Amino acid sequence: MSGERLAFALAAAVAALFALAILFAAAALARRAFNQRRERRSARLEAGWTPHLLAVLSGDAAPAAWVPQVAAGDRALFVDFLLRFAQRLRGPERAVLAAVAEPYLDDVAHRSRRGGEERRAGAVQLLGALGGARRAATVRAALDDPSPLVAMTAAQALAAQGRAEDAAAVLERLPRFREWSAGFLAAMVARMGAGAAPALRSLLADPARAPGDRAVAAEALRIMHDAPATDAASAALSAGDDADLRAAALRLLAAVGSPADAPAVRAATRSADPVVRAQACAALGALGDARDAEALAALLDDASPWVVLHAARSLKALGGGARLAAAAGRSGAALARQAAAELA
Amino acid sequence: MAALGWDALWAVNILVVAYFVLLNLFYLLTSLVAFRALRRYSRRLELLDTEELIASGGVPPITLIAPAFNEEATCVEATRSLLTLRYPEYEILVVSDGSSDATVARLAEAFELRPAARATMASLPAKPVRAVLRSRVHPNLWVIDKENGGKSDALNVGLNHCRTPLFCAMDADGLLERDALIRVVRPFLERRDTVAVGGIIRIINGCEVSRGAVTRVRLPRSLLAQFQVLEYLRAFLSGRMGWAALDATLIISGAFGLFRRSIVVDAGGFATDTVGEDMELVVRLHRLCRARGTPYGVTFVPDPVAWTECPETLRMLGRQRDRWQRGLSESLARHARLLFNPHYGRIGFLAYPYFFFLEMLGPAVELAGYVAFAALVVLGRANGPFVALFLLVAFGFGVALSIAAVGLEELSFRRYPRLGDVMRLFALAVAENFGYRQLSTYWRVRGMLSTLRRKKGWGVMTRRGFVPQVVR
Repeated sequence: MSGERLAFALAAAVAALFALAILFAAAALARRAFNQRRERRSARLEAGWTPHLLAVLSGDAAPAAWVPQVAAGDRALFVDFLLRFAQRLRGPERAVLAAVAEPYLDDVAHRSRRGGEERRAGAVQLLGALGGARRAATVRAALDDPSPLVAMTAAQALAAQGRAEDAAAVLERLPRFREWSAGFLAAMVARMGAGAAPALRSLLADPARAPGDRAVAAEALRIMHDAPATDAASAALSAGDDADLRAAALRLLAAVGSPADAPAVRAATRSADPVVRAQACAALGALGDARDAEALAALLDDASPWVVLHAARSLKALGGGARLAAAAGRSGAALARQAAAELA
Repeated sequence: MAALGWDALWAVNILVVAYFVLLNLFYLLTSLVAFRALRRYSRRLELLDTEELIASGGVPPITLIAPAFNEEATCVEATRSLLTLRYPEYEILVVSDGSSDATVARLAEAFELRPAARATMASLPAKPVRAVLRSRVHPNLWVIDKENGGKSDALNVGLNHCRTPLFCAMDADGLLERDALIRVVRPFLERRDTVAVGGIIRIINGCEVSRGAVTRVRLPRSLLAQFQVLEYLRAFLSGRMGWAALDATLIISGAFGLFRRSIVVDAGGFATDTVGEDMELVVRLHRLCRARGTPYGVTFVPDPVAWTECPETLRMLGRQRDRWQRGLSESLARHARLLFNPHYGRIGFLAYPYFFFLEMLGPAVELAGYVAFAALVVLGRANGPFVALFLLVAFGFGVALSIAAVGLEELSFRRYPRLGDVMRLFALAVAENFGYRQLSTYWRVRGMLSTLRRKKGWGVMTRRGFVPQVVR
């Protein structure tokens, strides 16, 4: 490249970079001005809507008495405004909000099928919170949206509504959500309430389903304190070889099981997996009896500190304080000593 | 002989130009990727109902591990702020690393600490623990007093006492925003194989603080601190966000990172023989997970904020940058086998080479460039217009990228409500090229030399504390 051309290129680069810097600054300032104007407008509109909505929600005015005059350009703002109330309200008040929102939800339903995934997910969230049973079919359809984000938003919306008839649909799609944490999925599914328990028990008992999905079902049943789930949990514990599933089944048994489940739990204390052994120790504290003290005392020498801690806790719960003290006094039993000191 | 000297000078200049082009291309790439990722993230954030997430009980418990060394000025206020976090289940372990001031006494008095026993769940090597204390008024607050061994050693003691699946490594003098944990935990919910997540660090100097929370965000008065605000915006919103979007996160700040406990214990905890323990751990986690052949995620989220006090004197700032450069160099040198290693994918072919050639060796190249440029000009061998144009291109790139970072802030979180502060950030994007950048280069070169001299230790960082900044 000749010197002249190089100089020209450098000069062009300088001009372009400074133009770019000015453009970035102008865009940032324009964005700022746009956001501020939108926030001011939104605050003004909401200040007008809020007293009417509160009057309707408190029963001082009938829902039909308030027909908000919402300009076409403000409809999205209005449903977002209602959404914020809907996220905090349940029962009849939620139904009142749904009635107020209904005239605007056709647009939202349309949005749930068009545009980017965040836009579709946002629409599904609105329909779930404000659409009630009338829009449930649209939300259910979103479970099969190609985007996992939209599908998860639909599952969360259906779970929050707590309709038993949606349980099967959500549980069938659990394989779509395998990337999500099991604890999160279990909490979400548990929100469906007692009506979903039979479907969850079936899932836990079904050896054809993936162990991860069954573990989610076990955790959800534990959160729900579902006592009839013990048979399915015992079966999963005895027949399964997946450590996560067995640990989840043990947590479920510890929460809702009975002494009749103790034999399966005792067997699990001999598992090769330390997580399973630790959960078995914890469950034995709830379901076992004084006869288990010897086995628990032996587990105070386990290599896993989690097993030792749970064994120590259970031993103490079953009246084996003296055995725990004796184990702690032995040389080389550092973990047991620490656990005993903590529980003293 | 003289011809050889000129050739060498020109070679240095060509090297500097190549370095400059590559560095800015990387900055441009991460800024563009970050722009897209931030837009997407902001939209997704609207779908997050934190109240529902907190109420659902579906989030895993977290242990906050806050190593403290002579933090008597800030430890009570900072701990109080940790106690007000909105998260369903969490424990706080403040680990006093052999503090010689009244750190433990202040904490004991403020939170009614009493001796308590707590069994350890891991046995990472660390200095002996002198006392374990638990608060009578806040049962989730523990203070562990141990012999001095450095920040990593204190973190390892915290890890040994940690019982939750996730732990948050942070600085004892930092302030976490109330929703920081519920926001930073999200990647662990959305992707169960996530092993580490970093949050954004922002500068608290100049902000108003009340009851352990930042109530009004403003730029600091000190010009030095203002430059650092701009640097942090660039580093986190353009840099870390961009690298995370490229799935090549190599650094999680030691001031705020959430980790899966089990994998960090399996990896051997924090390295105690480097001052860059935060980056070193992340690189080691990449290596461990790749060696195991299991899918894993390391990422960054831009809205959970940890506020930190930045140095306001040249001496303190120089020490900090020296330490950062040493940490970077030590971490990269220790894991040099990642360089262009196909086994490590984008980490080996993109992130590691970037940090190795452009961030670690860059300051030396830049300094050599200044010297060589000056030599050519002084000896009359430089083409004046070319030199001027090249410097203008460098200047233009720097300004454009810094303004882009301020733009990303406006696009996403808009933490600086005053227009005057935003305009000042634009002005700083221009001003930092005249002196501040050159000073930074000097400190980083000094850090490189410290690495070569195998200098250890953190140096002293004097904190002013949050209380004097409180506006009531």
